[in-house]
Order: sequence, then C-alpha cells, then structure tokens
Amino acid sequence: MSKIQVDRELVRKVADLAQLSLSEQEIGLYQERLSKVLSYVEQLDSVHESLGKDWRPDTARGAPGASTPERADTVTGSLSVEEAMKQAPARIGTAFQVPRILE
Amino acid sequence: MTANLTVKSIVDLVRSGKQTPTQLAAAYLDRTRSIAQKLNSHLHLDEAAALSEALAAEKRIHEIGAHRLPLAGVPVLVKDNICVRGSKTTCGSKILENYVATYDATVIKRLREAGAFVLGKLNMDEFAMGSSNENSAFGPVRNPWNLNYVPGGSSGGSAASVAARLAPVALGSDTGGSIRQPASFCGIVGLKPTYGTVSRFGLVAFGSSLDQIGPLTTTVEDAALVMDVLAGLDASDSTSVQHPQSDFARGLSENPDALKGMTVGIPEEFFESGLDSEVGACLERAIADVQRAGAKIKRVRLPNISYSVAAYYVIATAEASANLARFDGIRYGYRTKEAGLGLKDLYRKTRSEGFGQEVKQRIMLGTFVLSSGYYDAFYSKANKVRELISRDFDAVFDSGVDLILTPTSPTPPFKLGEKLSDPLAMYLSDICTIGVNLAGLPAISVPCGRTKAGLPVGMQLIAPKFNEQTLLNGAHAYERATEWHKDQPAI
Repeated sequence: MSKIQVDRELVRKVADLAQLSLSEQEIGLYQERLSKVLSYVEQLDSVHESLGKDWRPDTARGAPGASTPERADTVTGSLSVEEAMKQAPARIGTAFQVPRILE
Repeated sequence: MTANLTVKSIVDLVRSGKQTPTQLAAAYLDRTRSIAQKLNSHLHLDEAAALSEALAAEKRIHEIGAHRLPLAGVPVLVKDNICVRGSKTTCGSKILENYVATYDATVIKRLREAGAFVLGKLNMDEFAMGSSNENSAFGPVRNPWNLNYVPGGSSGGSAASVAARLAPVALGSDTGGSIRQPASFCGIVGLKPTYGTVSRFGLVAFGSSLDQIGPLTTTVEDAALVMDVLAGLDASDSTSVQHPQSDFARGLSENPDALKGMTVGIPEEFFESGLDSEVGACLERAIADVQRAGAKIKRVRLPNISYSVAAYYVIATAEASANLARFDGIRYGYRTKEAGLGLKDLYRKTRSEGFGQEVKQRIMLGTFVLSSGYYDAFYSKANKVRELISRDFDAVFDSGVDLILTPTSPTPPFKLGEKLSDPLAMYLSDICTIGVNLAGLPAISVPCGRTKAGLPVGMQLIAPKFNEQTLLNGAHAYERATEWHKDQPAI
C-alpha cells in the first residue's frame, strides 16, 4: 500500500463516484479529514498475515462464522399502491415522478 | 413513581393487577415531558400514539393473560433507525426527516407479542455514525449525569433516556460499540448480542455484517428478560439464526454466583497506553471485585486488536457506502427543492443537502476503499485483518477463558464539542468495542465506577459466540457483588 496523497482532484473523483456534489470549501474540509483517516488506516499494510493470497472472506455470510439458512419461498402480502406512493417525494397519479432521462 | 421501576418490577406490578399499561404510560409520559427536552433525547414523542399502544397492550393482556406474556405492560423506547409502522423513522437524518415507516421491524413485533408497547422514538447519531450523539441532524443529546457532557453514541438517546428513567428499557443498535459505549457513558447496562441472534429486519442498515440490535436497561436481569423476547430466527433476515440458548432470565436466576469457578481473561492490550487513569483505576477495582466473586483472573493477549479501528473504518464505511446508495430522492425521503435538474444532478443535490458531514465523509471513505486500484490494498486487507482478530478471540476462549474483561471506553464521557474537529480522536473512542463487532461476538457493558467529577465508567465483558447465557450470568454475578448500577443521575 503506497502512501495515498489525498488531493482536491481525488476528493472530487470520490464524491463523483459517491453521487455527492461538494462545494469548494467542502472539498478542502474532506481533503484534510480523509487524508487523516486514510493515513491511519494505512497501518493495515504492516499487518503480517499468513492467510494466503487466495483467502477470501465470505462477505455474503455476514460476520465470521455466521450461517445463512434458506427459507421457504412463500407468497406474502405487500404494500398497497397508495401506501407506497405516500412516501414518494414527487408523484403523478400512481407514478413516481423523476426527471426526464430520454430526449 | 417511575424512577425505581425495572422491567422485572413492572411485569410483577402488571401481573398482580397493581398497575395497568395505560397507567404506566401516563406516568412515564409525565416524567418525560419535564426531562426529555433537557436531554434532547426524543425525536418523536406522540403521546396519543403511546397511549393507544398502551391500550393495545392492555387488551392483549386481558385476552391472553399477563402471566403468559413475558413483558406484560413494559414501555419500550426505540432508537430512530428501527421501523415502527406509521411512525417517523428518521435515523437522525434530514434525508429521512419525513419518512414514515410502512412496516414494523421484527423486534417491534416480538416486543408487542410479549406484551410490551412502544412509548416513543429516540435521537441518535445520523445513520448510527458517531460516538457522541453530536452528529444528529436534530441536535446533540446530553448526558443526564452532566448536561455539558456527551452521552456517547450512536445510541445516545437510548442510553440517556434509560439512565434518566424515561423508560425501563430502550432498543439500540451496535455496529462498532453504539450500544455499549453510550451505556457506559450513562451508567447503565447495554448488551450487544452475537451477530445473527436478533433479526435486523426493519433496522435501517449501516454496516450489514456488523449491525445488531440490543437492549439498554438498568439491570442485567432486565437485559436477560428482554433478550429472551428479542432473540430468535426470523425468515425475513437471512443472517438471523435460532439461538442455542432460550431462557436467559431463568439461567440467570439458577446461577446467581456464576463467577465462582469462571476464568476471566484480561487482554493486556486494553490496559496499556491510552487508557485514562481514572478509568484504569475503576477497572482495576472491578477486576478485584470479579476475583473476590470467585473468578480466576488470567492475563491474555489479542495480538491484532490494535488494528481493529483501522479494519473497521474500511469495512463499515464500504458497507455504508453501498447501503446508503438507496437514498436518492426518488422513492422516499428528502428531495432537493431545486427545480429543473437532470437525474444525476437530482441524486447529487438531494444527497448533498440531505446527508450531514460525517455521513458524507464515511460514504466517500467507503467509496474510496472499494474503488478500482484500492480495493485489494484496503478492503481485502481489512477483511483479512478481521479474520485474524476473530481468530485471536477464538484462541483466547480456546485456552480455557470463559469471559474477557475490558474497559468499555478508554475515557470517561467527554464534553460536547471536545472531539468534533478530530475524526480520528472520535473514532479511537471505540477502540475497546469495535473488535467485538468484527468478530461477531456478544458483549455487555455494566457500570463499574464513577470519576471524581461523578461521571460513569463502564466495564465490558465479552463471551464466545452464542454464549449470551455465560455473558449475562457473569455480568449478573458482578452486579450482585457491587452497587454501581443503583446510582441514578439527579436530573
């Protein structure tokens, strides 16, 4: 793990990937804070581990040793249209309103 | 009247007909009116809804019989990241400010089936990200022992409310210490169950491989009574399991002197540098008390535990960046008021306006460690370190240790604002609790002393996976041998 240089460009790129828009002032703030946290996290590099390069965590299983039993595939009730629509930030009739994506 | 009530005593009062759920609700609401505002502990206190919940519990008790309901008439406060149908569930965030849950979390269903009822919803760090409850979009919670101090986080509203006796029990969630650390800061009991013990269905996800719901109470016996109801397999959460132990409260009463003959491991790493001297003194006394209660003390080592905070802030933020991607301003929650935006700008504006500073920071951190070129160096490595930490705990338990004893937090409660400008200082306040989440273990914080300034100090006990009974038995025996749990803040 090489030392990460957190510059303004990296903060912009990560914010873009995370679907966030930041002001110039925020970019400066996160540059400082992310830099501090990442330089701390880089200590992981010094951990000697003998798990081997093929070792992979079973992330679908949650915490180490947790099990995931299957459940019966049965039909259950769901929300009514009106109940689901109540949550919509903007709606047209029974549709969720979104910006135009096709010209 | 409510100041001295416990879950146990309420069940007894309701069973003997001396109190009804509606009388209890009225008494707690009365106390809450004068105190909650000082603490900023409550986000939603709908008195009519609380009384109607109490009435429903009363009806259930009438139909089924109080003796068949393990939590007959018990009022419960709920952290605001747990869904209660028809009530707001904000997660302490502007982005969910007006979100009304459309279903009940499994834990809420289970509590109601057991005769309990929901009294209100509690303040918390936004999306459970924080250790001081200063990250709430709705203002910080204050510590009932001293209003200038933080109550801990992220379940700060839960801990402050139970300490101030606004309910005998509150639900919290614990991803890196968010039940135990605030319990310690507020002088009460907080239990984080083994991963998989309590269903996460209806808990708004933060770090899915780490999150667990658990109780905050004033006694260990109460924690056992509530865990008897919360634990169990739920088809709606594929990571939930049927717990091999099923009657914690009875197990407790059958073994009141459980520490006799137990081996309690003291990991040296937690008692080296960085431990506040007053916390250290409280813990030394607690270790002596545990020994006096009949336990054998064994010094042990957890060689990789010092890497737990680093591994956690990679894994938890990676999971959070994926979990919080769902907040996009389309299906529910806040949407930016700016008109005429394209889809991508709508997402970005909404998220930037809706999330607070700490949440944005963690989303970006998680996005970064999962991004191309950094995934192996950060995310894969952190998972390997997580495995090593888990194996370190296993090795200690395999060497004949029944319980591990540590401080819950390296420091006593700190002042509001004291750590806000330094993200690392705040993250390091979870150093004693985070390893437990990485390894999926059960752990409990119990009060073990007070500082010269009168602020509470907590002791953490950790057990092997699915050994909640041993954990509760050990904590209960310690509680019986000491008086700290009897102290109440003068608020």
